[in-house]
Amino acid sequence: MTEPLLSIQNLRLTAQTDRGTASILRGIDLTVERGRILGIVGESGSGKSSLVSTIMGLLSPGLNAEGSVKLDGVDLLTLGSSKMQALRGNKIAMIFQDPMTALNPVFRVGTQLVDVVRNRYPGVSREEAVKRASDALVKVGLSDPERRMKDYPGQLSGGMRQRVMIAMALLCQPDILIADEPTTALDATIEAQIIDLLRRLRNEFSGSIIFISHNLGTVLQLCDEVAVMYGGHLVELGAVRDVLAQPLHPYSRALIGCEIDDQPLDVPLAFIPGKVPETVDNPPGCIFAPRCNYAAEVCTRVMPPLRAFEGQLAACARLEDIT
Amino acid sequence: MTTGTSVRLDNASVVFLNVIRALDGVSLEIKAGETVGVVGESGSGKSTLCRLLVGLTLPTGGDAQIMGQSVKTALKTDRKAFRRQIQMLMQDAVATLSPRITIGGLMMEAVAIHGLDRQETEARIHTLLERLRLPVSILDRYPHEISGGQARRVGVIRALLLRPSVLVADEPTAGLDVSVQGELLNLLLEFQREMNLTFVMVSHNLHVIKRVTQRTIVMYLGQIVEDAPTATLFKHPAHPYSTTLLSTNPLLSAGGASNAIILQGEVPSNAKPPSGCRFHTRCPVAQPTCSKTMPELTRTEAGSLVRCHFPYSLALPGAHQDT
Repeated sequence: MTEPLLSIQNLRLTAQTDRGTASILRGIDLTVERGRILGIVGESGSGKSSLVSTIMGLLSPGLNAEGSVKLDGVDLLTLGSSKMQALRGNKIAMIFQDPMTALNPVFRVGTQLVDVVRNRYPGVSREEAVKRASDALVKVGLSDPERRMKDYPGQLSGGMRQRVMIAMALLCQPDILIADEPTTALDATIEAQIIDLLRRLRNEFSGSIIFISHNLGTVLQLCDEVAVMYGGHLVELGAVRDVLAQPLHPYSRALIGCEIDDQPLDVPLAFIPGKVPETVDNPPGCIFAPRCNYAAEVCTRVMPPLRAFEGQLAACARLEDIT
Repeated sequence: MTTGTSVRLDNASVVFLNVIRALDGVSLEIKAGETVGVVGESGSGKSTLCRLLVGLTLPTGGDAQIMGQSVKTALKTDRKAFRRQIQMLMQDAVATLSPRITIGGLMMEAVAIHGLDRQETEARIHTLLERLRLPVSILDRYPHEISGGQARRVGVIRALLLRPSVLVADEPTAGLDVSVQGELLNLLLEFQREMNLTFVMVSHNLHVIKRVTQRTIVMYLGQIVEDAPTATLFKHPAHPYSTTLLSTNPLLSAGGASNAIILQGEVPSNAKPPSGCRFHTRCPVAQPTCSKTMPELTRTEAGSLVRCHFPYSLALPGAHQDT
């Protein structure tokens, strides 16, 4: 058993606000193995983006992270900002939802790609860097790379920009690539192209991928494991096929139940009544209990930890009763 | 005009700056009480179509008629009466709410502008608040104090207060979590039935279109490429573009199998649309004639209108498994 690439233990993220302490992450335990693709799903405000921002060391001032985030045994939370800066683009990289704001609008695409190569591999000559950049553009499916290298980001379509971001990630060859809803801003046929590209690049890419998405169908196609988040907690974790086909946690069940599938037309659409917990709320019991169909007295006492059950992990006190 | 026709477009075109053909010769007829979905990618003309219907954009060619009256004339003769007939839910619901007026004030604008009875309207607002599960206290709040989901429901109330006969919704669930989109769609459908609304809904979410609409219009680069009963379209799409869109729409029940047809290339610009069939540059089954002659919208035996020289030539992958 080798050590996992990324190991997150009891990660808490808090902030002081006018209304008291806001808990954004409430104790996350998660490991990512080498070469695997982990999907993260959950509603807005569940902490998905905060989790990956913490891993990337991109937290806004005022946010306080406790616990540990170990990459290859090194705790990222204890690294200073300059060491963290050196890690970004080398060991960890990120593809954002909006590729336009991630690319610098006043530099040509080629310049930005070459900069990435020369930062990652300082010994590489300019010519070699240009060649690598152009090869990467071909790999992500952009024809005419010479022309694209001369373009400014604003001259590219959304799909092309996201391809440039993926090319950049390939050039870095990071150990961990984080993709935060990389296809949300794209049209359906372009989204299909990008997902197809990510699937094919799996073999090109030696590292692990953390893939955040709202689209459960896409997660099912692309990921090996899936983590379900709710209110700053990880409530379920397991192999993607198991979790999405047979979710254990009541929240995962409800969320998957909301997916519009082949239900008969006369049945009203499913939804989860109530609202997501506020970060300043600190209920003593299970975070999902107020909206849960299966909540019982036991659920009001303490937030249950993630525990193994039928090959998956779920944070629910009543797994035995409800399955 | 024939009775029962609610919306009618006759060869309607919208050309911006003399070059951008946002909408190009669109003809359609929607019966009163019909629920119609409009799908297509960015630049396909979906939003322009909506704006044309509600009179926010005027046709540069052809004609748009609502309840037998030309939009152009209606806006000149009695603008307010026209607006009472057709209302729109905007994609960005928060942006439609003036930031300095309370929600209650925004709702009562209808009284001032359209001369509705104040007491009756107040009573109606309270009924609608209850139906839409909004707290009465929301009336005293300002737009920045409410959530995106609440802003959408406020938009629904503002539209319904005028008792329109046509409701146009531009991406009513975009940006909403799946956990709440079902609730909103259920309510919209309830109101549609109760008020016998003609309901035109734009969405890029094909699952939503499939569940909510009776008829679907597929658009590509400003043209209608297919217009068919929703059930027929989802089972036997006639146009290769419709087939492609449907194939990129993974259902969880498909178990993660990817049958997506991956198109090559980007969506062309509608300032320089391709010759012949607009889709031929990306069409997997294009023939030489497709780049030369533009196909006309033609009725197939299954009752679908399709703009393709070779309808049904691209089969939906995995469709044979349908029972």
